[in-house]
Amino acid sequence: MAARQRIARQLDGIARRHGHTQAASTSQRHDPLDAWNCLTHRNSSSGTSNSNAVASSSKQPLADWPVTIKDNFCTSDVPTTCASKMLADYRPTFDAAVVARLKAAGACIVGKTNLDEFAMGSSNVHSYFGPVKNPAKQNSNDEARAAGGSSGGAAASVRAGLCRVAIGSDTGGSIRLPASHCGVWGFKPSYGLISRWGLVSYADSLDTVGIAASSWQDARRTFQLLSGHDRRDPTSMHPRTRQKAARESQKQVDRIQQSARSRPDALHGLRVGIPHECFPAELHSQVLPPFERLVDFLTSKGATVIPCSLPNISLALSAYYVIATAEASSNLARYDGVRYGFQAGAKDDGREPAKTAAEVYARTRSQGFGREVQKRLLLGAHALSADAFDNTFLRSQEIRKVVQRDFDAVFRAPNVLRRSQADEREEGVDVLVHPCSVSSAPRLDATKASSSPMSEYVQDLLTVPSSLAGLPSVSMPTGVAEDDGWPVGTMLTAQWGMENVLDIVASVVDQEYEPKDGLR
Amino acid sequence: MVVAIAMAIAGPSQQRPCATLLRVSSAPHRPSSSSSWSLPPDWESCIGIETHAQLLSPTKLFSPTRTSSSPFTPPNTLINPFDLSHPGTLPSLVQPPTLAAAIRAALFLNCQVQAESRFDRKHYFYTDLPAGYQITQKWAPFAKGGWIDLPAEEGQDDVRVEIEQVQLEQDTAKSTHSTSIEVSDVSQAHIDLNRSNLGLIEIVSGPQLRSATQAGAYVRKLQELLRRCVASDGNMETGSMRCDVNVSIRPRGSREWGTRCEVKNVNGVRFIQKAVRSEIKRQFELLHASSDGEVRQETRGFDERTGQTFFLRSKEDAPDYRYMPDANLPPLVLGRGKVEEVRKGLPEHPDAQKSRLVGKGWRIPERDVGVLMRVGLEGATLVQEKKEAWAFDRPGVAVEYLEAVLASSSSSVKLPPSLVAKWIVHEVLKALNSLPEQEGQSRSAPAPARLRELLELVEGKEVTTHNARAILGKLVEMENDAGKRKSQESVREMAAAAGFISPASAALSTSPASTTTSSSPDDALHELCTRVIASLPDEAAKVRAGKVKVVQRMVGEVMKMSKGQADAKRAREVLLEMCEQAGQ
Repeated sequence: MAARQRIARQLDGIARRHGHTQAASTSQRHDPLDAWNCLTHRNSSSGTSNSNAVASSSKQPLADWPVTIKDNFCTSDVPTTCASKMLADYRPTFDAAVVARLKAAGACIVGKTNLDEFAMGSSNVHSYFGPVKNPAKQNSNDEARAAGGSSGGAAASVRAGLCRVAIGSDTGGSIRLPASHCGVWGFKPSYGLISRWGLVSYADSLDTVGIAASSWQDARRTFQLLSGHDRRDPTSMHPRTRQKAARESQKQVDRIQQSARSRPDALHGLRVGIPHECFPAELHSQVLPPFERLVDFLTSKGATVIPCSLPNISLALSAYYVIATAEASSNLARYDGVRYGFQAGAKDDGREPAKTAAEVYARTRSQGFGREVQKRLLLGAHALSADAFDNTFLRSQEIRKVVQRDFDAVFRAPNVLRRSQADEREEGVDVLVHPCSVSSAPRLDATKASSSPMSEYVQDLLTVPSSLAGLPSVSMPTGVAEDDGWPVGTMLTAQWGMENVLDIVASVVDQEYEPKDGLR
Repeated sequence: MVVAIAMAIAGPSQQRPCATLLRVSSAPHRPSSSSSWSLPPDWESCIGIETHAQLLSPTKLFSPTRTSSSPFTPPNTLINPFDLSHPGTLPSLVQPPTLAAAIRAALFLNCQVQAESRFDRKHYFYTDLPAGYQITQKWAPFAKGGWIDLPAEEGQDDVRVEIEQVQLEQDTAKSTHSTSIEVSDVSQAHIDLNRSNLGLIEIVSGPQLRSATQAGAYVRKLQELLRRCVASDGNMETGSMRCDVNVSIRPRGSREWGTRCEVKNVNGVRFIQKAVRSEIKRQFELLHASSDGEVRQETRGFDERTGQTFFLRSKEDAPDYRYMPDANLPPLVLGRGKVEEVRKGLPEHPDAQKSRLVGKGWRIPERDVGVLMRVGLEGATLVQEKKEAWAFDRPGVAVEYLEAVLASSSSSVKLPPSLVAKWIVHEVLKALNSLPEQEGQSRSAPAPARLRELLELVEGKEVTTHNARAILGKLVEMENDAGKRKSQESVREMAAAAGFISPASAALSTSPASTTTSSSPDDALHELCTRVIASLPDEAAKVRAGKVKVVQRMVGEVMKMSKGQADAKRAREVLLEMCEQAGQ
């Protein structure tokens, strides 16, 4: 309980520092401790009914860590809303696998975080509970900025100091993009390493559990705790595959460490690829100076920078949106108001009672889902319709394979998931780096105008390729854009299962890199 | 008529059940008769059947939730969050026992079990489909390329019906509609999610069936096969087996198919035959109503009350199921070893069993074989532990019983299999059926050795058939009466006690006091020895050739046949004497 009280004091302190005035304009809920609207539910700090109030001992790996959980992970003790009217009062019957692991490790779950409804969005403005305000710049005279999405609440809760680690989900960049906009670390591990049991599905083949933290060390520790096989998730990697990946990554790590041994430049021998396709026309020049400074830093540490090519990733964004929305249209079919959740007409809403089951469904889904979700469900349903299927869904699956092959062709380490395993390619790169977002955080009023829906989708341009390929990818805080002073992240990606290779670079950046502005 | 339906669904725990009012219109009826009508001989009908059969397994398909075959299981009790499609749930990999049942079915249907099959989602909104989609196998089914042979019957040719594919899929929840008394014109739909996510196989036949009779025979044969390999209980009344029937007609000799109509959800062999007849007649009349009459491709329902099919929807209104590969479930990979392991555990295929029993060596009349093989079919259940008692309540039990009777050799008397089969079919079954019915208690046949003993008495003409029937009745009664089951009394003793046994063998006793008949014990012994010599001609020849020691075998046989009643020393003398006489 000491931890709980300490957290309560911290929260009070934070609230005093920021005042309540910022909250009023956008937040629908006026929680004095959460001026950025990053929480959908805050566990009462004095509550003893909370099931994770088991006596935490210092021996537990995450003892006393304050942690937030994105509100699309099932929690049996508090509602799980997915920031949707559809599930506004929904209370799961079980804890998600990651929630159970965190509780068992002694973590203190301080609240559930805001998100784009059912994780569909890139700015965290499509929420039943209102948008999340980016806490990266305090007392700024700027217009309020978006926190990025869909795990906007997760990244913001880290940045605002409400927690040490935030658990989010990443389907096409949902943890990395908000981390980049909020200036924190956002880590999406390889697909299949952390159990998805209890993560409400958006697009099963892409959904991964993501971690936001203020340091790489914290993100890594949390990852090590959460990674593990789970029978309840059929896409959870089998222990044999994990061992195979561990052997391969050990080989790579040994080689890099061997090369850098007894040298001051810790990254000597590391090959860093910069794919030229990751600098598209949409990329705002403001992100380049911080990125270039980071690359200079890596070079100064002995890394070799190699220009490379992922020739097909220009197709990745459209393929991603077809696949993600198609799977979403299937996964969200269960929200019909019959067994749980919102049901239109359950209360007297002054309308004619529905005459058919189809009408009950139509009203429930029209009223229960927000605009963005409805738009994506329609897109997805179209992609699966008999006439469009071959040219949209199947075509996108082919593009996905091509994108995966592009990655396999640039990395030095082979992909251990491929049946016919290629040998190590010495001319290949160990990691890829490129800017994480096309710009710094967009202004909230700009996202609300929604004049061009594409502008939001373009936000995902740089994050979806590694999602399509299921690769481990982390957004590193790398300072701020010179023109507006808002954070910019750099993305670091490795071959599937090569988290330890990623770790070599991320650790050096975490410990030694000093961005010019000192703002991380 | 418009009926309003209130749905009430019980959730598993804190989930508050919610209710709504729905209105649906009921099916129209069009009374007419088609039973006496038949298609002109220059036309033929082509029928294919899609069958859904629930797999017998202790667990559901994609969750470890247990199953129950009891009709008394309270609704919404066999469920877990995945069966209810709660947010955040994922399917488990196919449960091994459910998979084994599917493999058994595929093998009995002569199918090739595919090394790799995949799962897809079929989408539609309905109250009994909690996820809004069903996990099935559209593009890469579990098994393909099998067949079912139907023998010629009732004036029909024999036919090999192709099994095009067998796919593994989830069952839906079960909705029951009932009219409420309190609110007039309102009926309620109750959803029972116990059925949700049970394992099903869909068996798709080729269009080789040519008549309603054959369609019925196909479904019966399918039921038999699924039950014999314990893949499904094949029960159409409870809905664990359900059929959709595709019917088209064409001029005989035509190479092109007629336009087909699918009749959905016809549940019962007789209903299937009725639906086919009604549909054939309807299509023929449509084609002959005018010079440009045509059949339109459509989906139809079947009204059990009128025996007629009725319009449900046209091809144009067919729903787009928006099939999509399931992104959670990996391909189902089945090594040869796994399939072979299941094959080894299979019982004898009914077709093979039938040809064995009617063929050389057994020569049991086909009708009796048919009856034997049908015994206990409806009792296909999961629990198949071998019971000591011979309860006639599981598939294949009567044939096993027949084999046990023939194998229980208490003597060298050779009973013809056809005689044993005849007794089981005509007498044992009758005796079992005449027992008073007791709830939850299965009725058992007497131990095979005892039936054999009785039949040997009949075969040896010691007991008349009429009297043997009475003894059999007694044996069956004793077997099913716990107090009397342990009785040590031999059949011969029972026959003797009842005064049924013929004088010849009753007088075998060496004790003069027991001799109640006019003939002497020596006469009876002579008769017995004559029979032993006849039944052991090789031994008799050896004795005659001087190998006197061999007579001991014959003495043993006399002792066995007389149940130890005969005087061994005297029997030896008689046997040697008789052999000598015969040798001269």
